[in-house]
Amino acid sequence: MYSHGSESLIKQAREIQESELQKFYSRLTKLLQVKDHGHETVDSLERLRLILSATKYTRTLPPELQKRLLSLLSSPVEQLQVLSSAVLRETLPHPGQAENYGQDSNSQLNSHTAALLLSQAASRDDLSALCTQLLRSLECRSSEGSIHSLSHTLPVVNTILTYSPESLTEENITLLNKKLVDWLRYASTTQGCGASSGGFFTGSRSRQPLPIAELDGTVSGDFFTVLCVGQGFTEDQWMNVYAFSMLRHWLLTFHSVSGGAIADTANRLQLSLSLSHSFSNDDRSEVDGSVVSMVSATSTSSRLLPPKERLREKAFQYCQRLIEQCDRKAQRKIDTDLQKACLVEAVCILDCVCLEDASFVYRVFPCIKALFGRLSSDLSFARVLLPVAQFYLNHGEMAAVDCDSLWNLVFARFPAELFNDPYLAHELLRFLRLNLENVQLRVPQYIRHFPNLFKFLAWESPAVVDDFVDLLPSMVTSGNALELLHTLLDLPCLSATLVLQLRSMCLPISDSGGRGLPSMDAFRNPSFRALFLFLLRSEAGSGDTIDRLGTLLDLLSETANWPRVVQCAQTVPILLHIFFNTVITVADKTLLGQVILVMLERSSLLLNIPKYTTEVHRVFSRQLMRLCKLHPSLVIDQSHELLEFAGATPNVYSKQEIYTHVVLVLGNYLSVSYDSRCSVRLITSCFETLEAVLFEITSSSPPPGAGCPAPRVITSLISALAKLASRSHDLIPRVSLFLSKLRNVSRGGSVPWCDDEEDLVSIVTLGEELCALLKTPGVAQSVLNPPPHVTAPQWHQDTNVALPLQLRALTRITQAHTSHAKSQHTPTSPSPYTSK
Amino acid sequence: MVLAFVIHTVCPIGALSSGECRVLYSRVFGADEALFRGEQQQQQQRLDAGERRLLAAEKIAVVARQVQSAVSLRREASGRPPGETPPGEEALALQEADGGVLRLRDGDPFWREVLLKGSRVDVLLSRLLPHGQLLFLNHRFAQSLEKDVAANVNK
Repeated sequence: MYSHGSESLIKQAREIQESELQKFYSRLTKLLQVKDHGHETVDSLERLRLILSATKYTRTLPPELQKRLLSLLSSPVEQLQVLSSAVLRETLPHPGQAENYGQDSNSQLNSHTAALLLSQAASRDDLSALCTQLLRSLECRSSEGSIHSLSHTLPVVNTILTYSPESLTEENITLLNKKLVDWLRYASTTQGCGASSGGFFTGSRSRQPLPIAELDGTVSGDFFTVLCVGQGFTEDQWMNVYAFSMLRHWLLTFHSVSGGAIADTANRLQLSLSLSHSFSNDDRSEVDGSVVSMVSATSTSSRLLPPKERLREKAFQYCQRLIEQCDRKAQRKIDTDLQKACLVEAVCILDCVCLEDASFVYRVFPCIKALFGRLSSDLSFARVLLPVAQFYLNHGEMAAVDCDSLWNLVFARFPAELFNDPYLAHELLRFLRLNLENVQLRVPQYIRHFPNLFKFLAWESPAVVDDFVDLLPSMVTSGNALELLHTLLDLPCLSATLVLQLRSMCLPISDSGGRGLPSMDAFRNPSFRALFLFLLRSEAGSGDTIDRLGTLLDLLSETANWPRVVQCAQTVPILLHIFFNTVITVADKTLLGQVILVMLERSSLLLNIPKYTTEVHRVFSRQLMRLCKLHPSLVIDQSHELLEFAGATPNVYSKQEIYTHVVLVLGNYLSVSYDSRCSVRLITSCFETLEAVLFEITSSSPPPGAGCPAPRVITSLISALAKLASRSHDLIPRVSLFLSKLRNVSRGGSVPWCDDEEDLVSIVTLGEELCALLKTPGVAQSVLNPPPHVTAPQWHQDTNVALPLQLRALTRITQAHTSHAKSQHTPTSPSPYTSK
Repeated sequence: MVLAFVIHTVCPIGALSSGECRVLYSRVFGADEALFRGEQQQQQQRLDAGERRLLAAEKIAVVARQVQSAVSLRREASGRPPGETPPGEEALALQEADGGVLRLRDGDPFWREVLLKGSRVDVLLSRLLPHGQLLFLNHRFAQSLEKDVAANVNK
């Protein structure tokens, strides 16, 4: 258990006083001056390391201590090398220190010194020098050193490749190309001596070295690879492992070598000529007399090739052999896992080789195709098939291969059956992200199977939501926009269904133990099967949504508090925004009209998760405004449904946000200036609808269970009525009458439909101002129907709030004028319109 | 290559305040990223060695916190309550530990040992993940390396 003791250790280390620290430094320095270093030294070094790493601020060690630690780097005791390297890495180097170790450039750098040099490298030159030194010691090493004195060479080179490939000189590169060929292709095929203890096997009868074996125990018939085993390993066999481990990175780094494209092409032509020539003069000198596998027999004599091309050829052979070896049944799980890893790596390397030199495609493809055939029916190899998919994507066209069965597997089967494999999910989505353009162009299965892909998101939303943010825009087309919108809204339901599906597979069929979840019973009930199957469908195109969606939502209502479902619901709003951002770029007006209808329809058909409905309504509201602003005539197109929505009084209470915005768009855009089809009859009809609702909600208490209608609903209704009236002046008296009644009612003090006094005052004030404005219809018409560029308010985003402010300003102007006029003519009662 | 190896807490710990994450061991492999990565070279070179180390430590801390929240979300979704392992049950907790991906690896911590014997982790890493290089090791190679680690750590 992580105790307070551990935490206090760290605190102590962090808060050590300077004086105590200095004492500690000198004690440690003294310890290091002694020849032998025992437990006390080791413990003190560990403590120093903890002190240094416990704080973010970097310390400088006293020079004497620093010097001692530097000399420890070459201690024969590895633990001391490790500790001194770790400590020095946490401190600031003294200037000129870089020259102090590794001074003797002929000496071998151990791994931990190399790590220190790497961490302190400040320039390309530093890395170059390190690289050169390492490679030099590789060449002129003595054979007495154990393998582990050299084992870090390639990993360090790999690091330098990552950070600064330019640090490698041409010489280095050529040397490494040659050495890699030797290690990969020509390592010993006999077993090394027993392990690190050295010496021969005791009790071994013969001194004849045994041949290496395959993972299934049979004797190897070909060159050594990482999938070969022996009792012990020789040095070059170890280097074979290190070489293969960095091979892909090596090939990738020098893939696009800036060396003159023309020269390269000429070289390639020359090479392919010489290759085909040497194929017929097959020189078997490389092949020893023993059993030869397919690979070696068909290998071309590549001695004519320059080092880089030779390495490519050997890499190809190595990977082919690995793929063959993976067909064998390994005896241990760690080896089975390794085989899968090797398959992935081999296919990636082959892909790389083919990208560098397209003439390889014809030799490589049969091998990859055969591999696909072998693995496609085994889902445990799904992750291996992703690099195969990459290969097909890159080279399939060139090889004129039918890739359909591969893509069907990747998009139709994998997500459906492996949605809960986090590694597959990550890798498949990553594959899509990295190849998005290509996949969109050439793989129709991608978009066709979007319902399937969403299963990854529905299952483990937090882990993959970022991927979907990147991928979603590419999924939206004019053909699938509506179905996609429904799918996004149903993601929490999909999440619940996947949980039920998995649980259902684990539970026995007749689980009547009384713990039966209603949702599980529903899931297993044949009469509801079709509903769940729709959610679980793998392909789009069979319908936007289902008729009995309401039923499905009821059946799943108890799942609304399942953590997985809740997490999924939290991702929906942002995906909706992305959807809308994309859909306006691909949809025509007709489709956008249908999108509006879906929004209205679905606003009451959502899984009842707390906050989910509110959030979705908020998105809908914003997007409704946006769509109508973009295409105001949409309001006329969809006027029937919008009026139906606006006329349903319950919507005021259950969907106040959307309701407010529906009323807003009606008020703003139902006008002949936006669409000549807007008739007087339509305006009147709309007016009457809104008037009826406003009357209903302001003449009585809210229905039981519902709170008072939001003040914004009322003000938006009032504003809309005024706007409509300003376009059809016959309606003005009706508005005025209503508004004056409203004012009278509120004079009595409280009203049942508004429980906040200030809100009531604002509502009534608005009413009065609009009334006043409508007295001059001409003015009202311009104020309430400003040309589009004016409706983008300067000081408020919310047009509903901006309007009263505009009115207030106007009112004061008109009042000033009125009272001036009145004072000249009538000396009586104060105008009802003077401000309080 | 692997860029960093970090051991840190992943569940709410009594000794820590809520949401806090303690990094117990961290090892960044290779050269200083800030110095050698392309466009930002100009800007970063103005930071001195101490500042670069600070930057690296901050990044590790951020990553650790991200992993911690990913782990707790995952556990929440699968219905397992996040909580400390009672003493004595560490081995079991390690076996049941989930692996996962968030472009990082989840892990499980093993407390005091790590704080006071960081050199063991270093030696282990130097064999199994030398300078961040992932190795293709069959069981024989792996055994050989493990023996080597054991030999060097217990001196």
